[in-house]
Amino acid sequence: MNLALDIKLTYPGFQLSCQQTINLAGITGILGHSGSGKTSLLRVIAGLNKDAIGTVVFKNQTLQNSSAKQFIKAEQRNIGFVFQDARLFPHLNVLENLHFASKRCQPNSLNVEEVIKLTKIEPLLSRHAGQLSAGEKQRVALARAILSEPKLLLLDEPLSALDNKARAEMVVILREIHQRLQLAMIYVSHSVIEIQQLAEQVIVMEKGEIIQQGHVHQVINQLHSSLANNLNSQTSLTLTVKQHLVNYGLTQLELATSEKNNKDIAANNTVKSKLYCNLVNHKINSQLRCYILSSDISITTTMPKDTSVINHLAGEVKDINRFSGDSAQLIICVKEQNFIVTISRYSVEKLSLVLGQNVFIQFKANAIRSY
Amino acid sequence: MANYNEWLALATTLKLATITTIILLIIGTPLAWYLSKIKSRFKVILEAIVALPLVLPPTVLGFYLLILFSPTNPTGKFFKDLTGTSLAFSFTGILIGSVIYSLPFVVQPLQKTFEQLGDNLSEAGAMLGAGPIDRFFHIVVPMTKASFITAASLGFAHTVGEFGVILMIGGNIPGETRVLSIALFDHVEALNYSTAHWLAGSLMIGSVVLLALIYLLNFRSEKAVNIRANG
Repeated sequence: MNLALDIKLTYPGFQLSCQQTINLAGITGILGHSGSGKTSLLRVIAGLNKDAIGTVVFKNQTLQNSSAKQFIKAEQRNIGFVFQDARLFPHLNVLENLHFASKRCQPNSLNVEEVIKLTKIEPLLSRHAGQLSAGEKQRVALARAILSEPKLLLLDEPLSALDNKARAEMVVILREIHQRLQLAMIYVSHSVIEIQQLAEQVIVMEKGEIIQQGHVHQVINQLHSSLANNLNSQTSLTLTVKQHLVNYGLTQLELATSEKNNKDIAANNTVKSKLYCNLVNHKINSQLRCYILSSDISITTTMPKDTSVINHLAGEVKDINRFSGDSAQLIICVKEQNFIVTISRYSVEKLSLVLGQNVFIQFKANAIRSY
Repeated sequence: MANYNEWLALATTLKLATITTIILLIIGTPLAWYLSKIKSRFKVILEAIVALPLVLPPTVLGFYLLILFSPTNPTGKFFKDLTGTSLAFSFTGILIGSVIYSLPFVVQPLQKTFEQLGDNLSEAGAMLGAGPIDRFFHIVVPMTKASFITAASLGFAHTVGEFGVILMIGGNIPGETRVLSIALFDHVEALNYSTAHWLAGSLMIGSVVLLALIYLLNFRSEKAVNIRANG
């Protein structure tokens, strides 16, 4: 399912310019600072902004073609939108808001009750917008958007006004909805954490342009490694939950990396490394999105033995970035997975670290952080 | 006390005010909507034309309408050829005058409310598959109900109190153009103060009751909207 964009939108002091084909498999995250053009891009895709010039083609259907004076109205695009401010109709209660959407989607295949259950809004049905918390409003807005049965769902920073608890709940619901309904989503946020939790592929926007596109971990790791002197840089990973060691309060994880076979360069061997994190509430064989802060990883030049640090991996120094301060950021490549490590410049010199050197990285169980 | 002629004047007044209000809502609503949405300089000119009856002496408006309605004028002639009756000194004539004269009282509150409502909820409706008419009747109208009540009530009350325009274009024909305000003027001119008091008092009490009802309805409506929107 492709979305081909070739658009230009100009306002005084701002220009959105986007020539990109997006493969909408899974959840696509759009990451960028305020004013980078994320919301403007979503509004153009939705048909809410008629000032853009160019073409928008979704699933081989032309939604907009300025030169041919073709413009399909927002209500005819079959695209859903969850706004930052929920935009529930205040004169209707929650159930009536949901019926507003389902009545206008004929014939409908989704059951209202099922969507209510999925978004966990059963106790809210008779309430009006003013009687709901920010998190509840967004859950209702999400349910309402789903009931219009869109082919593509656009989400414009729906978690930005939510507290941490509501945010975590919403992330779980979004993941579940995506899995259950196989609904293509474009999720806009300025938060790397939200994107890391939800998206499979990420588009990074800056000053109205797309500057980067790729797999979520690859893009996030690149972003972090390019942030100079940032001690909070992190390595973004997806690990497989293998075993819960309840007695020890640990969960055993598996990091699957590929290793090139020297005899047959074309063939890749998958290497599975065991890692441990603090006990998490995930099912066995499920995927755990997590990150490790660069300052939580240390380096040794010999295989760590007799150490309390539970996780260690063999890797190779791929990059050393000495900052003007007293710290240095290194990229350690473990098979094909890069880890960002921040250590002191003193340690770099003491260990005589050079590019291509074989080293070991180690980190404690609690360094693997999930959401 | 009121005699048959006064009751007839009351019936003419209520008939005029009711039909005027209905016409004003039908033409004033799309006009107010259009004014709330356009961003060109043309908006200012259109707003000024709509607001003209607020500042213009009713006699000036009445004078020009009288000229326009005259059978010697193409407009008046066209109407006479079409219907066989003259627009001047007819119920239809005072109805047209009333619609023009009370137009700002309906358009302005509606325009202000539409502007305050903004496009956010309408956009949300569009993203759920609702077309423009659907959005207007199922989102905009329920959200601006109080303003519709205010606009209709003001249009009605203003028509009931109309004098100058009607005197100029309608004259004083019982059952046709003789409304309460004209009847009152007649009685004052004839020094018939007891009936004049009766009519003036009734108009005043009626107006106070109507305005109080508007404010009560608005108060309740705003309270309900606030509770729904803010908890």
